[in-house]
Amino acid sequence: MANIQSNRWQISRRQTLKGLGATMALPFLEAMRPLHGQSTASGDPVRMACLFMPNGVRPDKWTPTGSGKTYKLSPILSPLEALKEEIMVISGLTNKASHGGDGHYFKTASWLTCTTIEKTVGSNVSSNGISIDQVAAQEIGNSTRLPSMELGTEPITSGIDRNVNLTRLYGSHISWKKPDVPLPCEINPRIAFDRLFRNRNKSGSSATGNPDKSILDIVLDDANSLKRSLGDEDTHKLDQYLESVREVERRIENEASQLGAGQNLTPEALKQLAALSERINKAGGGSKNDFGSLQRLNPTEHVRLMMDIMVLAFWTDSTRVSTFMFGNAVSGKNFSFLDGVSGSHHSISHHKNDKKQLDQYQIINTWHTEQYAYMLQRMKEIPEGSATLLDNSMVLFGSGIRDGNAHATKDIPIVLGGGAKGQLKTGRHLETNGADLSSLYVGMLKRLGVSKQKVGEASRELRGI
Amino acid sequence: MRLLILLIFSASAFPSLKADEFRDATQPFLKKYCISCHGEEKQKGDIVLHDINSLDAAFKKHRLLENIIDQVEHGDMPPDDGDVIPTDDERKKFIEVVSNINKRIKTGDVPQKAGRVTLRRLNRHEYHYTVRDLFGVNFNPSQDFPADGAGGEGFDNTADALFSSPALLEKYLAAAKKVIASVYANPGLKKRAIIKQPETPKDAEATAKEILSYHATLAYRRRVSKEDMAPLINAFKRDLKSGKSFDDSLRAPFTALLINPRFLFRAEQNQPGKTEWKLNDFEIATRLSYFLWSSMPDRELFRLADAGKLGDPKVLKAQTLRMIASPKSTALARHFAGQWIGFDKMVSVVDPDSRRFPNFNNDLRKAMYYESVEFFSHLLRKDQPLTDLIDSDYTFANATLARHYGLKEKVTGSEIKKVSLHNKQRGGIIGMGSVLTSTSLPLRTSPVLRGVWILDTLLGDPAPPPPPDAGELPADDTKADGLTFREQLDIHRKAPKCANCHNRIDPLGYSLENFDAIGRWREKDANGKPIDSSAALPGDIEFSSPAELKQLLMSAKNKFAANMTRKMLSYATGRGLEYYDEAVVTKIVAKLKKSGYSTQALVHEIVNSRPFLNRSSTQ
Repeated sequence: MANIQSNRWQISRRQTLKGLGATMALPFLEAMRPLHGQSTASGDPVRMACLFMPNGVRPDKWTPTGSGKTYKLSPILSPLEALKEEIMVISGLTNKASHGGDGHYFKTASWLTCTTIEKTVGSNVSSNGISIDQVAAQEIGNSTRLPSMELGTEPITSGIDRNVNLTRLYGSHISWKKPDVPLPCEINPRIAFDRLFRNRNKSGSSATGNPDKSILDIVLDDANSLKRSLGDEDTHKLDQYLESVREVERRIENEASQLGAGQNLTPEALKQLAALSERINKAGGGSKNDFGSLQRLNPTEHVRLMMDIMVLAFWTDSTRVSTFMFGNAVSGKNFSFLDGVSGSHHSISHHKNDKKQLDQYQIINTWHTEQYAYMLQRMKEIPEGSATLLDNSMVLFGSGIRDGNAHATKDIPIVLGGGAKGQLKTGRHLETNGADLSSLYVGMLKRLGVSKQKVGEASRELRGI
Repeated sequence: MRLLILLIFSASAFPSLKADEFRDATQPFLKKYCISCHGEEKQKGDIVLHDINSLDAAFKKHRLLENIIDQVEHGDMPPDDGDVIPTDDERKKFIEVVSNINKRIKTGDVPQKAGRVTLRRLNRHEYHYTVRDLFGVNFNPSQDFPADGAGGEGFDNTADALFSSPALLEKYLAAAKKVIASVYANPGLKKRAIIKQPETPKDAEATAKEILSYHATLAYRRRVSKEDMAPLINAFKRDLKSGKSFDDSLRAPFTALLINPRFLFRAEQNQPGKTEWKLNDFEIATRLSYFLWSSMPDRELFRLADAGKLGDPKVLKAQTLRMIASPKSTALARHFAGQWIGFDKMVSVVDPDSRRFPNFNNDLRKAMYYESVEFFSHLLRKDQPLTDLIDSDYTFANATLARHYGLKEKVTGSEIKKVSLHNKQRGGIIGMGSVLTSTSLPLRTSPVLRGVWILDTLLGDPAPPPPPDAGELPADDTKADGLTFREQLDIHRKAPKCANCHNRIDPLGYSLENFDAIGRWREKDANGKPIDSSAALPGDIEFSSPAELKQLLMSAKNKFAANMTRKMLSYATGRGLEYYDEAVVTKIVAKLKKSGYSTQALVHEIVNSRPFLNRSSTQ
């Protein structure tokens, strides 16, 4: 291959990880003191994670039997048995704003906004709303290292879905900072980890002396003259960028001030951070000749690494808000690594009520629940005062569609784990009769202490949570 | 060929219509027969027609017009299970009116303009190549940037679909620091960046200004002003004053260049008060280099831009040829052809099951990708007809790939090289492992996906979406309950709601069934039953085997060329196409036909087109 770019095109992931790994030995952890944000006056804060599962669920094996406290978990939810007291299964919800369009995209991009997306192949991408994680981040994100995290396992799906005339990027984004600012998921655990835990400011220098900040200042100094030469739509794109510059600058200032506070992480948290870092290095193994940027990690380990990062981020109060996408809408992830499954996720989800396909679909769904249970269990094992991290959190798990075969929008699968500091009546199966998903979100934002509590069209919280 | 009749509408001349006449002539028909299924209430097949209530609206939805004509003309719509069916006369009149508008759009008998692209952020590939050319670094600093979404005709360089977020800015900042650190760590690169040293300490500021102006001109891709330079010079002065060395004081301004929006975004100046204007020379140089190289202009282009020579079509043509000949034009093969044809999926998306296909390893994945890249580059550099994409008597392969394909021709070594083919099944992109694998599922082939790919990617004729409950066939073809895979698909297609489209889709895929899910030739399917590659399209078009499919497609050269032109125009301009671009496409295709479908002619025509060289005040 005689072209100039072929060999340089992609450095193997291993090389990249190695490169970072070299600076990742323990000393950085010792140098790293002040991740802890201010604890709230009333003690530990409430945290929120929203975990999105693509392609729906097998409907006849999802819904628990019985209601209230005396319910029995369904086969797909059975991995949550040991956590039954800490969760609330909510049936009968629907996201009315997502009904407008066919296919997955309307039901993915709107999962956390409860608004109807703009139908476009790309010229005017808009969710027409802000997702609840970003609503929360804007209010409660200022006192932590990162206002929010957006994690996932699959790269953004490029291209246009000509079937429905939509840009596929709608299927790869559940977090919307603004109606026209989708936030991409970080899929590399090493980068997600470093962004949170690696000390970028070892010297403890003041905000004004920070080299990153002075570089950003040069850019901001220069921005106005550029703006003057542009038209309106161009200015809008530029503003999006400049806002990002300002936000990162604020973050750097924030970190600097936290350094001054000199708060320490507990030795136990430090130990777990080191262990997780080690695990990330190990998972990055794989083939030396990796071609392309595909993260060919073990799928289960990949998900768990991301979950552990969320758990440790919450525990160390490095962020209080996170989203996670198990996969993108219409994900064709090959699930043949599970016993009893041969084929890809989306393809199997269109099961035509064929018994064999339904069984495979169920195995895939159950795997997702197992990972969710893993995360809840980890949070349950971390004490916070007299409670646990799980008691102080809300971890939403679900999908934007019910039966993937028909892209059904009624009775979408939703589980809420954690107690939000005693503000949620867990240990129950809450049956709602077609209530809107947005009303659940109103209730969640309220429990996070967020004052803006209008989600989509709803401003009143779901009854019974 | 009959395929042409099916897929192409041939317009005949009709008298022009005024705007209100269009509305008056179409609304009664649409209201009576269409809107109950394709209106505000229901949007069957995702088709909405109630908003085509003016000439302007018809322009906006011009892509739909051909489909409407086709459906109504062939009697597919309105469906005959409806309560009311139009009379032949009603049908005829309606088709006449819509066809007339369609024809006027295609011939440019409607208001024309250049169009407008929004401020374009460099996507992650462009960032990589640009930094490579700017500072000479040889690693990919954008490796961990999030993938860019796509818009318009499906490309990740579409301005409107490129966003910024704080997380991305953090990555820009980290990448900028890494790039500058590696420049400083390499004496050669450092000398290339710090082009001179001050002779006396007094010269420091003037020398820094010279160095930074040089790099800012390259990074911002235009002449820089005092105003542009001030923040950079100030940063230099501040660091020098604080006691840093001359070289180290240039570090922050260098780094800042790489996160400056003038670098990260391709800005084109607004000209208030005008409705349309010619791009300036630097803007043309930038468009040209990002089109052909996905990177910044080189010295020669800058020199010509600076001298104001790029407005001259002869100069532009010579430059285009020079740039095509450069190895950097591989970027066009990778990112234009890769996304259009879909072979870029080989890089990270395509994931054949490793237990079922143990020979599908990294070497093979890479070889398939580069076969396609080299093939397209060959068309471009050697000016082969673009119809070679449909069928050719050569391809590119190394020993691994030749063995995988079972080629009779002797190919040795790991390098990809040109191979003549005697086997008529293999040539063209349809016979390529990249295409055959990326249109398959992890465990089996998908005649449906392959059929849809031919209609959409080659002919620009996407199929409407299946109804949500249409279902899919088993993900694996080894558990077929005694039926061959094809027999299952045939049963599936019997449902009337499926037949209409699948009668057109599936046969195209059937003819490729001898290629398995990773592109190997096979005579038997996964269950040991013989492959049946015979196919019949509506209208008694019968064919069998890849070779015959390719023959059939060769009869639709113009349609293929029109589709490729649309794709390339969208890629080159960074925006989706509008109705006024259709006339540009029509004109280019006519010229292509004359030139024997020359690939270079296509590039020249696009570079010379109104949308490429001009800019309007409105979209």
